Amino acid sequence: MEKQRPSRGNGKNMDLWRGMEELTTPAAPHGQENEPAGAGGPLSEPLDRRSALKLMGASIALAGMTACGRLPQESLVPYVNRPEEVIPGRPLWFATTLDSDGYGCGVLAKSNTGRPTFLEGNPDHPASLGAMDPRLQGQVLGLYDPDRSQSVLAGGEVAPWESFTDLIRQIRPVWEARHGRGLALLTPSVSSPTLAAQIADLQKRYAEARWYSYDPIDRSAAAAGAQQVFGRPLDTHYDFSSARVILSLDSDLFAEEPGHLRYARQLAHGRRVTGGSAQDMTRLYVVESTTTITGANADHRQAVRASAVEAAARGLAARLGLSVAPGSSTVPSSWLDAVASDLRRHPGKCAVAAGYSQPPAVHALAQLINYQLGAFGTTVRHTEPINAQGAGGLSDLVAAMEAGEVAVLVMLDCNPVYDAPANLDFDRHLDRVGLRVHLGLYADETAARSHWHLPMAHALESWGDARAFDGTASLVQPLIAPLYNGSTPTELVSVLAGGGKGARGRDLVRAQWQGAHGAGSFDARWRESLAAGVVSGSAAPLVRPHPRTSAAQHLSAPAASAGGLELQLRPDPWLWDGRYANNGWLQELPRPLSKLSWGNAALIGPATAKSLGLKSGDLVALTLGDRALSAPVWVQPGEPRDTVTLNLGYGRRRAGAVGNGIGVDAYRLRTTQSHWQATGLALKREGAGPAPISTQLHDTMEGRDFVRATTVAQIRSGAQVVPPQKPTPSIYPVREVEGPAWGMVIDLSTCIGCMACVAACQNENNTPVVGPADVARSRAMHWIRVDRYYQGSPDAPRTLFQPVPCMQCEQAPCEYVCPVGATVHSQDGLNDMVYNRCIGTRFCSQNCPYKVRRFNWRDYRQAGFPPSPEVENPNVTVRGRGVMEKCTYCLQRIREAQIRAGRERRSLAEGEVQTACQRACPTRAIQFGDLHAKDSAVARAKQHPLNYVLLPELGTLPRTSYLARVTDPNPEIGT
Amino acid sequence: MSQIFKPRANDISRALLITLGLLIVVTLAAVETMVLLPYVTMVGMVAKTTRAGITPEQPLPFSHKHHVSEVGLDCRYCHTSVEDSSFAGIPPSHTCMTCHSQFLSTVPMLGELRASLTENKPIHWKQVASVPGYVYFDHSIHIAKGVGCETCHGHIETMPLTRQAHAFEMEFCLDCHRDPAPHLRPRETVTQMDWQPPKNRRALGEQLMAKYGVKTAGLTSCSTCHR
Repeated sequence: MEKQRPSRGNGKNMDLWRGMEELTTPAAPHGQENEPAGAGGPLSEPLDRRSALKLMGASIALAGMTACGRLPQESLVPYVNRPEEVIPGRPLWFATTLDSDGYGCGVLAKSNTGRPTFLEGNPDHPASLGAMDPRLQGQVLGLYDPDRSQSVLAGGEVAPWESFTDLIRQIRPVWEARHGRGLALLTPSVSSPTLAAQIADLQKRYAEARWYSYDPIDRSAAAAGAQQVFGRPLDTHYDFSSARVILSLDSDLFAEEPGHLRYARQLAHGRRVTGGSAQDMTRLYVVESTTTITGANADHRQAVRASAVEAAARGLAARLGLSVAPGSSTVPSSWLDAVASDLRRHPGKCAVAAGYSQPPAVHALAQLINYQLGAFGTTVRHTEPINAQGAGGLSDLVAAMEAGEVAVLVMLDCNPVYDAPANLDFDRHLDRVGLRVHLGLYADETAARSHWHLPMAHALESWGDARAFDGTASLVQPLIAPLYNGSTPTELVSVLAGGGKGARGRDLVRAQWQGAHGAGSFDARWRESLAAGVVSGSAAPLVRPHPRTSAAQHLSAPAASAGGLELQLRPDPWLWDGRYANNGWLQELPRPLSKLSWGNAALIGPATAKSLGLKSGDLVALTLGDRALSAPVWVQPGEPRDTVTLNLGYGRRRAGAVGNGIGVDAYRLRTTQSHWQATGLALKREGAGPAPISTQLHDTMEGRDFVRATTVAQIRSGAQVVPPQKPTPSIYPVREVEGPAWGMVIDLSTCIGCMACVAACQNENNTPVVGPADVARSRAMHWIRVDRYYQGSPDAPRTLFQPVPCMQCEQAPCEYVCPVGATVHSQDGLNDMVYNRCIGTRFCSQNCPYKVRRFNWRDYRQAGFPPSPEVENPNVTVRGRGVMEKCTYCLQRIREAQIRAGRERRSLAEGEVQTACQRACPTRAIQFGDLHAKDSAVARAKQHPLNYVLLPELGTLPRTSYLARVTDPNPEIGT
Repeated sequence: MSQIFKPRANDISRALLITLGLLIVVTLAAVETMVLLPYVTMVGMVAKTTRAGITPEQPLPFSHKHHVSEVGLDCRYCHTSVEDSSFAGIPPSHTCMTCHSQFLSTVPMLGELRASLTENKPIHWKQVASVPGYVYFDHSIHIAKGVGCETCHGHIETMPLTRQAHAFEMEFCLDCHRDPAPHLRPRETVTQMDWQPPKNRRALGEQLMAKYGVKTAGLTSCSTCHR
């Protein structure tokens, strides 16, 4: 970097930057940067006198009148007959299962008098271990989405369910007579044992019926790779709890692989710095083709084009003694040497993981390397395929439709009209199908092209079951009766097989498990499974496969790497394949690395952007063969050269009011050949467009020294990471604190930047969605943000994450400037925000050095995206317009625990209060508790030599502190 | 940008400022008068805004006087969750029918109750004792610490139709949160309407505070009740 920005503040130990703008513009004018978040009102035009007086008068009148209201007369509505377990005012928790990218993930759902409002991970479920990710968290908002499909549609007209079941009853004799010829079923991969068994039964009944499955984000390359190596498609999962070295070959292990929450926990276990000593850490090497949080957390990362990962894998395999033809790798040879020798030093304690977007050869190589290193059975585990799949894929279905073999097509919980590869022309071929039936949560693109659309029940309204990545089964139980008379896929398949609409999901699931458990102790086991959220002992048995000896030689020769631009498609981190496009939380949540919100963009590395003469916000035409798409550019540090990455899931046409028309539809460039990547992309600048919305420069803290990072080697050499902090003299009196003193420590070594904390906080604290226009004005309301800093060269930067909630300063600068005492200190050291006193001067936000306060510029509850009052936490005030708000350390949880303890006449136990962010964190990077309890984890963490606070020189005495980030780079590679 | 205000605006603003000054004096005087009125008198504007003393019309003429002082029911017979939850609980229609299926089972007065049961439609009671939405009052902790029902709800056993006994202004809560001793009673007498405090109530209160672990530190923090 030629134009490094001069460092400001004091104690700066690293040259950090947050966005390309900071590197290219010398420094923003000081005053502008110091504006409180979101300043710059809607009144951009000059004001005439008349309007000025009108506004002044109105403000005075409104300010005066609002206090004069009489309390509204409200009703109290008791039950007619109260269910035994319901105590009004006390929530109930149920263990259930949600879909996590095709596999089951156990969650605990909170129900407030019958209303599911909050989700957290089920600690007993192997895929969750108590953690959450934003995609799971968002599903509770999805339940109340007013845009969900609310009725059966026959040819676009509202129809009763009976009209559909009657139709099937009439068709069924034809199926019976013709053995189901002409009937086709299209589903995603099925993780539900009940649904899989039902479909198998259906196929037995109608022998000629066909089942096709299609996942837009498919993992078939892994199965094909296993097929090459073992002769059969096996599922692979990992156990990193004993791993010392992990190499990812374009696998986003900690965000996108099934089991990612568990992997993140295991990685953190090997990277947590306990005590002052510097033990060896689990070392993470990543070769990747786009920027992911896995790469951001690597000790050593190599960004290469997607097509070049195979060459790196071959190079590595050759170094480890496998006889494969090496390709020409863009990864430096010394790097591969170092990785190979590190792997070799840790036989059985290392793992190589290949990503789903890589071709089968890379998966095969990863399997062979793992076998060579003795990792099978220890860190790398195999099972028979967990998910059931149809005999054919989408291409086969299209071929059958083209041949006129499909008379009836039933599409369960899928949206192929939107997400099918463009070259299949699925939409056009649908015309040849006589009867098209679609079951889905939304009346989406596919519903619009179907004769019948049937509303699907949300997972929180359904009975069902699902298998996790390791085969562990768990039950899905409803927390609420279907809001819109929806049906589950199992119920629909039972209709096809001859049952009425009356067949209830619960009976179907019970029947399945009755068969599995045997009748004897079934009821007890059923109850136990429902209560625990997992069916005990249901994990798939591990198999110990042996690679075919010649597998290495049989790998197809490496493809010659083509020059030119390469297009890479990836699922959106939050919208995934597009299914969550109408979820306001997920649309607004900044993406972990680009910090983009409300839209996708063509991600291009700085070097590529420079050579093409592009900058963020430019509109470009992407042409691949005869398909073209126009997309905005986002210059993303760390993207490999000559690669354009686009996230799928945007540009929906019939997602709903929130998701329609947000972003560009990358599926239009996707073909069956270029499922994940394609070479020969042509890019042409079309002009400047509106800049994509990104929060990366919002709430900057004046470029001071915030993230501290070091290495194991530096700690060993005695280098001082955290300089001793002298107490700063203060003119304010020291507060005496009696009772608990709440504090938080965030471990930057284990924080992976996954944003689960932000999503959980939004769910817990009724944080509104402000919409794209207001996010663009820095008005996003998330109470905790994850700052992402870069260090070093923009083409291969080091990435550092830092979650920033309210610091809960003991000497809080915000409190001194509030003219109405709306922000004051509580006895237990919390910086309270009293909404009903706040008059919206925003002085507090201006005076907050950490920029953690958020202002309600509008009545976001009315303008909600979508408005969903049902999901609101009844124990947290919904803030009105003109009110300041901020992180409260989940005050409602603290008070609830204190009241519970008081009621039970005992003192609070350690760990009894857990904040929402802490609970959701997959790596347990956030610790919270009473600083006065000397044995509490948080009090111990505060004594850690790596513990530091932000801006100690201001004398604010923050209660939130950080443990400096420690990595363990391989000395053979250097930094 | 053109000039927004003409010079004449100076005179207007001066006039406004003087009026504003006078207005402040008048308002302060008015507020003072209102505060001096004991709010238990439930008259005038205070009652209007705080709803103290207001008896909303209910779908059924339920009498606490009859059920408490004449029949002798304990509060917790109907308000079952008062010891376990923030919300004391309004009895489900089934609870009423434990007696009224046998007793007064045909009187027209209870038609609404019977209809609720037969049609499975809940009764919509008007809330009598209410605090603003930003106040998070929890019944269970007050019961556990020995605050009697009567302390806030007044002599409900004398009310044929229920009214809010006190103005639940912040001062009312703070009186006790600042100095709980004279307001506490033994936990087992919490629901007793005729409980007579001993001569030296403060001494008893202090004893109970120690026994029940009532600490005043933090009781007046904003976030104790507002969140």
